[in-house]
Amino acid sequence: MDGKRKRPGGTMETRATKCRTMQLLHELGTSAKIIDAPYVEIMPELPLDKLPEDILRHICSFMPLKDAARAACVSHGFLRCWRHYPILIFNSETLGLIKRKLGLDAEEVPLYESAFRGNDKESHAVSKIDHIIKNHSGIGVKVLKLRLFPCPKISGAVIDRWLETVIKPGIKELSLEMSSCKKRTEYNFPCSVLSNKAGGGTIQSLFLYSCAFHPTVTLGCNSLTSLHLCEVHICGEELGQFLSNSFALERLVISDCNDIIQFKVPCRMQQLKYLEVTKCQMLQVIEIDAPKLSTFIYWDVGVQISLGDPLQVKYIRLMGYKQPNTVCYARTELPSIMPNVESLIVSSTDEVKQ
Amino acid sequence: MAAATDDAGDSNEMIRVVSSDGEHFEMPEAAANLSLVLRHMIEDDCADAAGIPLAVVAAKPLAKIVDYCTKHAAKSSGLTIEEAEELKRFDAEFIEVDTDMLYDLLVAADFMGVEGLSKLAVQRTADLIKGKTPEQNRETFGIVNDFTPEEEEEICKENEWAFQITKPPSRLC
Repeated sequence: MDGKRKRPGGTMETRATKCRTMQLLHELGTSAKIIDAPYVEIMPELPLDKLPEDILRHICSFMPLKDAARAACVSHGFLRCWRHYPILIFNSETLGLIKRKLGLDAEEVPLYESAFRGNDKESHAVSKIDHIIKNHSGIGVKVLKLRLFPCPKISGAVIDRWLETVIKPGIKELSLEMSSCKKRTEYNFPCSVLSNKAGGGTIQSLFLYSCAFHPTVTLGCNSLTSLHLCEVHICGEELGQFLSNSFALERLVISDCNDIIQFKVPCRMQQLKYLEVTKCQMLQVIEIDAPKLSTFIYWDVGVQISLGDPLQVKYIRLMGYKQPNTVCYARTELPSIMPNVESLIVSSTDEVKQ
Repeated sequence: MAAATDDAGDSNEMIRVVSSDGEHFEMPEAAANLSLVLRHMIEDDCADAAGIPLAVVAAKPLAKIVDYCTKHAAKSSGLTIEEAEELKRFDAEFIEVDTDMLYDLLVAADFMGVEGLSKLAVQRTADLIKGKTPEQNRETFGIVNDFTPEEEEEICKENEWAFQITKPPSRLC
């Protein structure tokens, strides 16, 4: 190939550029000698499971959990892929709480809850999740989503164990959705799984629904870019401290968190671009210095707001709730607080009714 | 095929590639740039009239890949909604291929580093596997069951839950 090069001379450069291409091919997992090899026969036909393992793993990662598990029974190749399946999403379907027919015309039929007696549903779900998690510990799970709202009686110790087993450095996304049934015992999220030794250093997205989250003063996740807390018991001080230690945060959504009265972040949130604070009944103050904030969605015009100066917010959505003066506020007050607004959407059902 | 213009610096330059079985293909430089390997070869000044040899890609899949890249390069920036939909339709028709071609595209797109096509082929394969029993999948993709009967029993037992059409522990079995 070198003989055909257009660029005259410069053997060092030739070698250097060639090395780069070889390096690239190497990174792509292809033997570098291929490109210099003479023409070979057309690729022989291969059964699917003899594809290079990274392609096969890629294929498996595009399948839902249940299909990937079923494919594991096809051959050793698929079984290896299943063992490295990096996305563990447990929901009603994977837990077997929804009926699904096999075959090309797969259809989903909700399974009536009456089919389960007493704690059957929970023990059924626990044994399944236990089993899968046991076989996926230490392989570098990237996404863990536990949608446990159909099973309010799962014990906290069991969930602690799952989180501690799966969450290791390398995890990118964690989502834990608990039942919001008032009768159950509230689950207290174990903050130790967010320490740097566990998943704190690499986790990018965290979603907690209906549990308690009480981070210690020093806890923070320096890769976290998205945080969503819904119906979470956390007080304003704890949240402020956690955010100060999670300085990469770009997107923050807080809703139905009724322990928060004063939401103040002591440090500047350099990267924060999107802030949504809704349905926090007790909230009185929002105080964040977020110079890059461009979208702000909030709920209650009675809340005292300070988002730093100069303020770049361009898009605001104001969802007036039980406030008779939302529209008036949007017209008279907002322009002075946020001078750079380009788009403002106000909804105020109470005023429309009047 | 017509000889490629050997005019360096011309952004409309046609890039020649040669399949493993010696067939020559041409595509605009913008199309070739969708392949990581070709882009680096072009940057390294390895693209000439003789063509870039792709020793593991046969003519049949290469013709498809050239089609894909040419179509996508022509519609790369500032897509209108209609154009995006048209491209989606193109992709859907493009990947309606038999399993032999699908294997070739999986391997070739991965080798050439054509990200969009890799994803398309991977998604298509995953869709074909989904919702089938292991036996149906072996048939569809020509896979030999390489488990011993003991191994097979063990793995099927382990993943029994994935076969359940519905299996609550007490009733409705």
